[in-house]
Amino acid sequence: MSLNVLVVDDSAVMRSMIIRTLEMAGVDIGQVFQASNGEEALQQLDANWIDLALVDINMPVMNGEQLIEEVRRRSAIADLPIIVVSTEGSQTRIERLQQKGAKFIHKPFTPETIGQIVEGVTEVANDNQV
Amino acid sequence: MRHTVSVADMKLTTSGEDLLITHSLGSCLGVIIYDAVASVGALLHVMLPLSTINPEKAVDNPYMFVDTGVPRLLNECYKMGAKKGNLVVKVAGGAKIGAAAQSGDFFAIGSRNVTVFRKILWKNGLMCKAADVGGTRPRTLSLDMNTGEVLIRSDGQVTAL
Amino acid sequence: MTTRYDQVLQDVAAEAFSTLGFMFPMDEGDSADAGPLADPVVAEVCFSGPQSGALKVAVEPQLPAVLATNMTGADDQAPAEQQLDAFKEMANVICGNILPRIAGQEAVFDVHPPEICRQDAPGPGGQCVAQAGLLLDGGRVEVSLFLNA
Ligand SMILES: [Mg+2]
Repeated sequence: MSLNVLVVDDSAVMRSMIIRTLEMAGVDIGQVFQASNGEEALQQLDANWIDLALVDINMPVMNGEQLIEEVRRRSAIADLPIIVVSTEGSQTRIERLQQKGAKFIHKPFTPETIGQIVEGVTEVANDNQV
Repeated sequence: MRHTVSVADMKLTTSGEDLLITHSLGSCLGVIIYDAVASVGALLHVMLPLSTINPEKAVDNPYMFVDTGVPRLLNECYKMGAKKGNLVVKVAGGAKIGAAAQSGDFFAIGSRNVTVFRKILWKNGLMCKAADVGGTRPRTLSLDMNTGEVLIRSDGQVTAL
Repeated sequence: MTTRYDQVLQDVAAEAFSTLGFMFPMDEGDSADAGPLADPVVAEVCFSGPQSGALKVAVEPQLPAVLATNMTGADDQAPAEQQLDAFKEMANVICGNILPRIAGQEAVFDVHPPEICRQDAPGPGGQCVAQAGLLLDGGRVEVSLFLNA
């Protein structure tokens, strides 16, 4: 079963790196949606069925942490699997995000790390779909 | 049969009976490609990161440099029927040897080799399945075509990669 | 005397350029006496939190193109917009990684979106607490970290 993915990052190059990594990892991707801040991401989530979101923290307009809080508040999308891909180095904030059910990937990443974590999460996402 | 790969060289086989092995990987990289479906296996022992320091030498022997050796290695495997989707890529070596062991990590040949290797895989859309790079000890690397097993021998210890 | 973070900044920048940008340092020492960068492209990342300040990254003009090509894995030269995007993201990554190294893992910072500055723009305020120069295979890089009092 292929997964619809939302990639949220204010850098277009970073978004394309993440998408390329998902393809290389052999993740069965359906549609790919993109957003360059949290607000755009919420619009995408309203308009489309999305199985998995990869979310940056440092973004203008609405940052990734605010986005995740907002997602968890909305009953229709509260269970969305989220992977944070960020330079964040604060243990305090990482733990805060993990408590909200997000996985964490640190930038700079190697494609192999993303591949491993996404594989783990997509297994769960696939189970949710069934 | 056992085939030993020397420095700046590559060996490729389609025989399930073969063992490919290379010794004394220091700052050099040992790169293994294995496609179980097509029964294609190859081992590259490559020395230096960039061919730009000596382009003639790279024409003469592409397996001396990472930026010419790895693309050539991939091509040779594809020619023998290997498929990108079935390729398993593994790498070992890139250690800090001799004087480099004292200086900063990023200036050592070994870590440059690793960076260029990662760049070429990324460009070719390939993931590295397993890596044992860095450190200060030399390694011996082998691929058993019968099982696909990749072994590293270092300091008398054998580990599977 | 204020603590200097030159070596930490050097390590963090080299790691970011190598892991994310597939670039590596050429021989040590070459960059130190090479003089100021000619015609640099400059990105600045401001941050606030337990401490506020800015990270400034200046590179030789050809470097953003190499960086964008490396990061996208493309064969062709990346368009100008993408080159600056890649460079800004690199500045963001260096900034995000240096902050916990100087302020500890508990500190939570707000890292603002990176911006490209004009060459003649006044530098960020505050005190420069770290400076590092890298000579990469894609060109020279100078990174400086400023902290407000
Ligand atoms: Mg960002």
